[in-house]
Amino acid sequence: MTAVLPPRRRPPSVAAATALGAALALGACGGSSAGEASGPGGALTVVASPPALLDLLHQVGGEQVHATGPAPAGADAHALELSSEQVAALVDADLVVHVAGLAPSVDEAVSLRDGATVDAMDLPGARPQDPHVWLDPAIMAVAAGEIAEALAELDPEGRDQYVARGEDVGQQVHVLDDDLAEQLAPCRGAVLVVAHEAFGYLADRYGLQQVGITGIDPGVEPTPARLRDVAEQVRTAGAETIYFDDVTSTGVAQTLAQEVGASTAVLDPLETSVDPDYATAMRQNGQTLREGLVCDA
Amino acid sequence: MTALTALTAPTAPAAPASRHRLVSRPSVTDRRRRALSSVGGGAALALVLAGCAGGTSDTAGTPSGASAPEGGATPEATSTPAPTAEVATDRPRLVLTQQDEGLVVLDATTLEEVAALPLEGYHRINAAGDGRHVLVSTTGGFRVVDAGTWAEPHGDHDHYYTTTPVLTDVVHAAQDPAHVVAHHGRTALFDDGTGAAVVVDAASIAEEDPAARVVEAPAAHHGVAVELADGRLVSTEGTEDTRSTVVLRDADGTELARTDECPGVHGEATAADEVVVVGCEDGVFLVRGDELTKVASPDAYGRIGNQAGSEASTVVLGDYKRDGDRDASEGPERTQTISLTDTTTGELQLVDLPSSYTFRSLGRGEEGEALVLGTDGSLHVVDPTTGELVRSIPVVDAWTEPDDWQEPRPALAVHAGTAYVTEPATREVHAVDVETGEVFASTTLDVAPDEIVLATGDVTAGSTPYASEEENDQEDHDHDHDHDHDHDHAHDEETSGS
Repeated sequence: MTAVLPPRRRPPSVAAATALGAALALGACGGSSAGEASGPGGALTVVASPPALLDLLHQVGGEQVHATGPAPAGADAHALELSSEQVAALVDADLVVHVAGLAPSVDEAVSLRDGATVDAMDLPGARPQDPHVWLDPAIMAVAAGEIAEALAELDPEGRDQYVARGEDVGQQVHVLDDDLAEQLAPCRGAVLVVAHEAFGYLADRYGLQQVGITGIDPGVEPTPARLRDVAEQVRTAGAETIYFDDVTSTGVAQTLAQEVGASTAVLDPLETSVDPDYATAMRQNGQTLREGLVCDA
Repeated sequence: MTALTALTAPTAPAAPASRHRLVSRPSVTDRRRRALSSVGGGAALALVLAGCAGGTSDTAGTPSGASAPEGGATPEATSTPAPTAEVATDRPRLVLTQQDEGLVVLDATTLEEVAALPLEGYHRINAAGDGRHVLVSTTGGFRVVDAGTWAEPHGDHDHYYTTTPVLTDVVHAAQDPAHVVAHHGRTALFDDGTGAAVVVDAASIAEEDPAARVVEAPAAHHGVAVELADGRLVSTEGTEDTRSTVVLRDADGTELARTDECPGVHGEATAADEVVVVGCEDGVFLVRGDELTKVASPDAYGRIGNQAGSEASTVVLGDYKRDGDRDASEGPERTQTISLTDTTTGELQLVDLPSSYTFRSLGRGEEGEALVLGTDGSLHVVDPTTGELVRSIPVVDAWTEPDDWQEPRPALAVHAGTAYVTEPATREVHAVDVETGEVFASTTLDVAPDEIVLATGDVTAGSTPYASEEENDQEDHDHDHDHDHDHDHAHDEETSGS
């Protein structure tokens, strides 16, 4: 049975933010926008990472905020490397919103700042050993409020708008959270087998048990020894699906199905992008989990 | 170097703060403590610009427009940064020498060629102990090769990366670079030209002048050293003509034990619980705690000089030779006997195999199986405890051990349940599943392979590669801790001159 989800309400600010993002993407390769100290029309400049937090920034900040990622979209959040221009842009931004411990290059650039900085690892519920906080909607709802407050301090004239949008976004994330909880309720206690142990927050939030398997790349046919090892891990976990960040080879999926008896699916850690936005990407993950986990009917 | 620069210590997250303190402002003092140059740098900028020219890869976030191709690259020593790709799991690579040609790097899972690294002359290679780099013994010292595969500890799991292999310009100076023993994150480089051992953190092996512990010997000799996890260090002493001394020191360098009763000392391996076994011409010495214990061979001359150990086994596999009077002109003694030394009981067991083997034939399986690549072309699997020949897996054609130790002959390397076997006669490399005996992949190279070592691409126990020390200390990695020290130098034959 598939849970019926309410239609997603598109936040009013997203369209504008998308257009802004496109302009930025063009500008980034022109070599100019990343280093600007202030945004168009005197907007606050904000650098936010990873993409889920940038999405919140776009929604909470609206047109009063010029928000970008530390590097062009699509970069790997963990292995991000910043050019000197990008470091300068981050250092000079009015506000930085980031996750300490996620990308060393961003952490180092943040340490050079005088300006306001929000570290999502300081939010209630964040665990020091796991930076993937954005996969917990409850933490993200709090983040929306913190972002609104930080923007309001920097731009007191816009306070009412930031706070209102922050509350609105927080509310939408709460709805997302409720929907995911309802959708995954039949799966509580299920073992979530992942190739990349990035989903601890998601698993904890919805009562799943994350088990990381090692030794398999969805794009490379594994050695016989590795295949036996993975089969043993999946058998021990009692799972039916192995979740990968992405699956590029149908051959490997077939091998796993035949030799391990497990299907493969994509669970997106939202490290490189949120497409088209945080809530939609999370709902897609919820759907994938509902279909692949061993859940009650 | 780009990757090394970028992958510095993540900032330790602060304790959860109250609401009003969530917006932080670093103090000026904090700022000045950090140099801007420590972030990114020109190399990173080049990458980003390349990304704009060619678009970005949606899987790895690396510039697909950069110049290095996925396979078949022939990079030379250069400081140009290669693109880094994140991969889903550890991607072990094989590094092989090809005489007078250089090195070739293969993907150990698919056997596809990743890169060829031209380098003139005859070279020996050893794994550097960090899972990523390989050391080439060359004129002037140990030159560092980046096999381009590594892991980065990340919270409760690891992230894995690959890049284009490169012969770096980093050379650890040695007059006569010989044995390399990597153990538990520490790598001992032995200089036969001085008798000195230089021990460095495996994680710093690619640095120009890494912090090092130097243990000198009274005279130059063909020796070996290994440092254990608690800092104890085993090393040899001797001269160019004779050597029979093994010395055990503690972490501070204080001598704990010494023996002069190990004639022709050569080779070491480490068994479970870090018991080191050092080979002699009349047995072995066990290094346990602060003691050296002799285990005698059953023959007056019963030489054990090449060994393979495993953390999964208390038994060390060794060769065994009986002909002490053999003249070099007669060629190698083609023994069919192997030795199995139990480091807990001190018992030495000899096992006769169906065929002879060579100094490149010894390895250990994932469960500690003793593996011997025979001249009959089979990989012999021996139970290290009972000495029983469990099975013989036909892999290559039968061959005869060449008289010249520098001549290529089939060689064995083992990693994660797979045995890799070279076949110089056909220029092939084979991948064998040790458990089932299936030869699941083979490839033919342009030039005959000679030596073979692995870059595991995984986090190495004791090492702190590419992440902060404190983060690594918090880890509880499931280490694939292979104690096969790739210790197969051909110095049985003192004619080697190296």
